[in-house]
Amino acid sequence: MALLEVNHVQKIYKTRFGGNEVMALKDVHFTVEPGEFVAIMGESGSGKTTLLNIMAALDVPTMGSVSVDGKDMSKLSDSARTLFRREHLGFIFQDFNLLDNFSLEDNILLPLVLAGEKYEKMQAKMQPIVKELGIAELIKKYPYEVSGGQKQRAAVARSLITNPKILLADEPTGALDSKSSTNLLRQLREINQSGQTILMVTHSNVAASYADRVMFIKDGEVFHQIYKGDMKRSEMLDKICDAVTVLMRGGDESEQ
Amino acid sequence: MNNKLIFRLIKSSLEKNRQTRIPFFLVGVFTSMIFYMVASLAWSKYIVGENGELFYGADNIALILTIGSAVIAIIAAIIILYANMFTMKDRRREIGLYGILGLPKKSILTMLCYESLMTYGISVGGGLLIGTFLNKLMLLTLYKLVGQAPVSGLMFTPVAFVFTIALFAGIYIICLIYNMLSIHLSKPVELLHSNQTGEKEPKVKWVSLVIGVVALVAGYVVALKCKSSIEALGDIFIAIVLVIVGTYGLFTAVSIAILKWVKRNKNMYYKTNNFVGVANLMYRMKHNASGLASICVLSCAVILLISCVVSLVALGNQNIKMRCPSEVVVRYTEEDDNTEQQFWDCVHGIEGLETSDELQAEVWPTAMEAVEGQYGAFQYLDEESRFDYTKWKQMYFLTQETYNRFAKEPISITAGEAYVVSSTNAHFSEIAIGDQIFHVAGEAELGAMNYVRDMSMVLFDNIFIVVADETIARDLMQGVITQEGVDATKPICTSGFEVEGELTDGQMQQIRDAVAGLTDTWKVEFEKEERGYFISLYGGVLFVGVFLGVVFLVATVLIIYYKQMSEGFEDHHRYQIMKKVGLTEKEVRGSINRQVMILFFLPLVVAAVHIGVASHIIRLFMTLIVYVEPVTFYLAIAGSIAVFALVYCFVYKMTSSQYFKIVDAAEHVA
Repeated sequence: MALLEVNHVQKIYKTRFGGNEVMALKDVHFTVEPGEFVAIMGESGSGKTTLLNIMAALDVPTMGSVSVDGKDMSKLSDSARTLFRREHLGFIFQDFNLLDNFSLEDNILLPLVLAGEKYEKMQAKMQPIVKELGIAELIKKYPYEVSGGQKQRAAVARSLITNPKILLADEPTGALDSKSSTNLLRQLREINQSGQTILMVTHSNVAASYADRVMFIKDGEVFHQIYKGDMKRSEMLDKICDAVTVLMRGGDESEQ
Repeated sequence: MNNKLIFRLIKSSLEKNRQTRIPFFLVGVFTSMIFYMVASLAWSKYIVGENGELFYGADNIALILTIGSAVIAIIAAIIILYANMFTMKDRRREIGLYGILGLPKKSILTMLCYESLMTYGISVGGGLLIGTFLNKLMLLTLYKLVGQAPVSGLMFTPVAFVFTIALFAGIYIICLIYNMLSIHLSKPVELLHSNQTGEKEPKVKWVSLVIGVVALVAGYVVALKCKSSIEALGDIFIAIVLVIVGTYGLFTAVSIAILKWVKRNKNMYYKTNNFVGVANLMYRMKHNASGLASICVLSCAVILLISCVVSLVALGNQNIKMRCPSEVVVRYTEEDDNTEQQFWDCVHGIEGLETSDELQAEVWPTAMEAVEGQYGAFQYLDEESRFDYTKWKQMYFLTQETYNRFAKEPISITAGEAYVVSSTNAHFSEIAIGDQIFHVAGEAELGAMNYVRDMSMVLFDNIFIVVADETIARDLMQGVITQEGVDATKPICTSGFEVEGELTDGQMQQIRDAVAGLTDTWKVEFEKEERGYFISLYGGVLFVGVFLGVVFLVATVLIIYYKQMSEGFEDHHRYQIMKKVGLTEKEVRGSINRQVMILFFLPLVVAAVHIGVASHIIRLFMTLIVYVEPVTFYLAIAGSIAVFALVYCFVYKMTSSQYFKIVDAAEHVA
């Protein structure tokens, strides 16, 4: 059974005074298997952030449904959704969303503290993760004392500490320089290889080339998919670039 | 640059920032109104007219009101400047944006000028308008208090009106200068990004911590150890300064030290309930500790003012009754029966004066000092201690015959026995006066002592000793050193009577003349006169006290409101992140609630403790002015705390809903 099922999802936003309707997602339908690393690509306004919000249980679809492990999230109440998010999903954001009045350690432990775990248990969960991410020495520092790449790794540690079913990443390299980006993507790759399902929204070709599968979204629909199979990463990158070019040209033509 | 655009900008800025601007207007209206009202009374021709005071003590009232208005002016200036600073802090971004969009600085400054003028006009205009209507009400209240017949017509004091306009123009000009400077000195980009840098976790300031704790403990010790009104006179100011210093230390350093300690304690810190709160509180304390300390000190001031005013009112009647246990009271040193008879003959001869309840008491008063280390033992003052007021105990010896005239339950004692009562509630089983020892057979009634008490001696501990007869009392007075020519063994006599119907001024004069014709130890007091004197002196204090209390309360409420607002904006971002990480709506609310409660009620609780500790020394201090009966005084304090806490809770309810709105608002900027 698929881990994540996005079932003909449609999302329509109404402007505040009930005037115009904006269709952010027309009909999105796909599944993600356990252990997959999926990248979702699309230009600004293509609906990819809306899709991520719906998958993250931050928003509900107008039509269709999203289920994780066979559980339909749109049927849950608000607080049940929050709890579900806390227990089963991990998040990485473009702007890190670390609390600047907590040390990195406290930021990482935050989800566990919210879940009411014992301090010793929390430490036992945190140590291997921060070692793997190479930030074990930094955890006593505060967000404003470390670099962007280190902040993002702390955010990754925070998302992994609850041992989530799916890791959702929203433009994780968006605020990083190329070196930190590469480091982070390699780490995500490794995490994926150890069995973690990852779903990443990005508009960076390079970032997407680290995934097993890349989905292109355009005008609220899944437009195209590329599977990596046994391709090398450089070949994958070429294919992605080609697809992006086609995607853009298509847009051009439709305008004429 | 056309004016139309400037006004449009002012209008939209007002609408956008109404959460901070409306209170700013209200504060202006309120402070100018109160200042105008107090100043109007101070200079009113209905209190001190062209031909001097209009009623007895009016000069006093006018003077106190003038001093009060000066104090109110200073506080008003501070409150308005504070509120202005807050509204400005919030608008930096907006003004920075105008700069970036190409509005020249000159136009921005023009905009600020118009805005200030408008704020000034609305605030002071409103204050003067409301004040004008309330003025008459205030005057009538004052008239009622002093028992003056009401006057008709609208009360308008031109001097106060002009002065209010000028004073507040000055305050708003200072605000404008501050705003202009803060805009002028900064670049648009800086204005735009004014509050977005990370900051360090606060460190424990050990120096302030030590100073704070030492000052607070010292202040408490001074307040609690004070034994007499004489000591209180000097100590109260030391205690106030120490406690204020201590309060600032307590909030700035001790709070952070405690939070740090909690944080080090891993099992306590990593609990869902504490985790978010401790870190947030630590940062909020860093920014707001001095604000909280100010709230605490202001709360103390409000509670104190209210309780002092309330107890003055409550004690006023009691004091007059003590000073004048009958409507007419005469006091004199013992005379032969002839002189007394002469006095009574005169009184009975006054036309239309019908007396009743004629009473007389004899008492032998003297100051003594307690023998150190021997409870219940007192010695006569020697040449040295005669002038050391700090050790004085005021003793009154009276016979059981006199006592029985006033007591509810008559007593019967023998030579070696005494009935004793002390103003400080001290109990004795045996009492030694010099070398004479009395067995204390029981406690006398304090209420029976009004006729023998000397009101000028209420500063000291008063001990009343009822002995079997006159010989013993005279004998006890043998040891007293007196000035030459004064015979201490002669008792002080107090006679008094009630008058049927109203005592007229003419009758009062006749009694005065009768007394003047006797020997020079004779003094007469009329309850009617005393009451007028008391009210004229304390009526002004009462008025100013109430107004000052209200102004302090407004200042407190304002600081709390702005504090809640600014913290709401700070916390909004934080809670938004936590919600994304998986904090449920309920948990967010719970956490915010707990935090706000702690921050809100901490100053109140500390203020209540301060007042509790201070009540003793304040009572002693107030005894310098009036006799303060403990039960009434403590009830007044408890009542004031309760009323203040109620108002405080009301403000909490109102501001915290505002705060929730800000914190919990959906992300407005993506």
